[in-house]
Amino acid sequence: MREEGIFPLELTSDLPKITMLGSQQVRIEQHKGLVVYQENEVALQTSAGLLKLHGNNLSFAMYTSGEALITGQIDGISLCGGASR
Amino acid sequence: MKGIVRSFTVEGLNLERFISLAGGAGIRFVKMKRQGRRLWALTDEDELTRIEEIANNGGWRFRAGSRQGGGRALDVVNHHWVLWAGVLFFLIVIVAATQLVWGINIMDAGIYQANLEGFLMENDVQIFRWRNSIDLDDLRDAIEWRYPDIAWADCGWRGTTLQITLVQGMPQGETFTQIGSGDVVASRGGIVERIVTVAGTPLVAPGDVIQPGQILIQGQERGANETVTPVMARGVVMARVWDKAAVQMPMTETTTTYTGITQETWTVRCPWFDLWKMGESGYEHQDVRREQMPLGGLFLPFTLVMEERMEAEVTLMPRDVEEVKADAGAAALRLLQENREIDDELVDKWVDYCMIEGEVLEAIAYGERIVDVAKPRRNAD
Repeated sequence: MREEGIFPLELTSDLPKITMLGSQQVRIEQHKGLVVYQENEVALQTSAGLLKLHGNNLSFAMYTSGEALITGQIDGISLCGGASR
Repeated sequence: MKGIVRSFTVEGLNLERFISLAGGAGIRFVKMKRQGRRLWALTDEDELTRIEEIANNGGWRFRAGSRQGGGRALDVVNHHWVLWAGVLFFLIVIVAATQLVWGINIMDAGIYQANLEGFLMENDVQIFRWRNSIDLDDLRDAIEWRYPDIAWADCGWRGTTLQITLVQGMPQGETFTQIGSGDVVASRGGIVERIVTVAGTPLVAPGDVIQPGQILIQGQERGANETVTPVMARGVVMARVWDKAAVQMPMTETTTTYTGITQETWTVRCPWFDLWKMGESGYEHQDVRREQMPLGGLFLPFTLVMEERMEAEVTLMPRDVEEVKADAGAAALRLLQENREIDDELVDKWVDYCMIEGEVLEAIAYGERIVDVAKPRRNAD
């Protein structure tokens, strides 16, 4: 039984948590893997779909299997649904 | 990352797959950056083997990089351990040297200088002793006890030098009292300008020429019935006095010209001797430019001494008489001002000149002033 209202959704689901600090830094928790990494584009697979970041000089300040901290000039971010679960 | 951090590069196609495989294997990357087909990142040094294995299995070219941060410093130490051991040894020597007494400086000891040096030797206070084995408070108390005539002693450290300063006590001056009898005599010669007698009988009047030691006010007073009472004479005797100061100045001046021949030499000097002698230049006349560079500061008293010797020719050139007179006169007047015991105004001043054997000009400056020449002198009872 799912106890909604007692535990935060981020703990009870595998949905990605995306935290953006201005246009310089994005932290993505609970991603499912790196799909694309170029200097001007990063794409990460998540349970909510494909998360795409556009910008310049993008790099990973930190990368693990579940968490990524991306820095650089971030111009856009989009989440394309229909991800596989 | 807790361990040693190390960089690596991976080259090849589909680097995203490599990152996902490594991330899936629980490997953590930091500061990961891609440039074309090349990926650069930092990771724990312990993970490098697994990363290399993943790269080799997937057809990527792996290359380990250098250690970062503290790990890099560790690398430097590992590769240059002899150098660092030398540096460490040098530092230990320096620290040890700072704990030793390298010099003892006794200041203002006056007549006690030699005795105090002997006292320090007897008490084993000498160079090359450990500084912390000398109790400065005890030493100061011992010196003050040994020399009761001094006002106080001060012992302290100046770098590695023990500095002992004695402050001499001031002898107590003679106290002048009104008890007994005495005269007022002239402290110096001159012409009396005016006299004010407070006690005693004046023996001089304005206009009189007086000599040093001459009685000006006699220490006795005559009563109405011709009785003579001895008193302590007091009064003010203002007299016109003259001071003079002489300066001799040669009529030639020495000029120095460099021949262009120079010689450079250097040595290392410690407070007691030079490590090697610099030797003489052999020039008849020379100017020396000396530079001293401390090698270890106060705590390691070695100094690098460099000398540049420039050969010079010395020639004598005649000077203009008026110019010499002006210089000598100004110098004599300056000397006159400096020699005056009391900084009072001069009434008049002038300069006389005389030539000595045509080679030296002597300027004699005279200064006239009005001063109190009264000096009390107690009569022997």
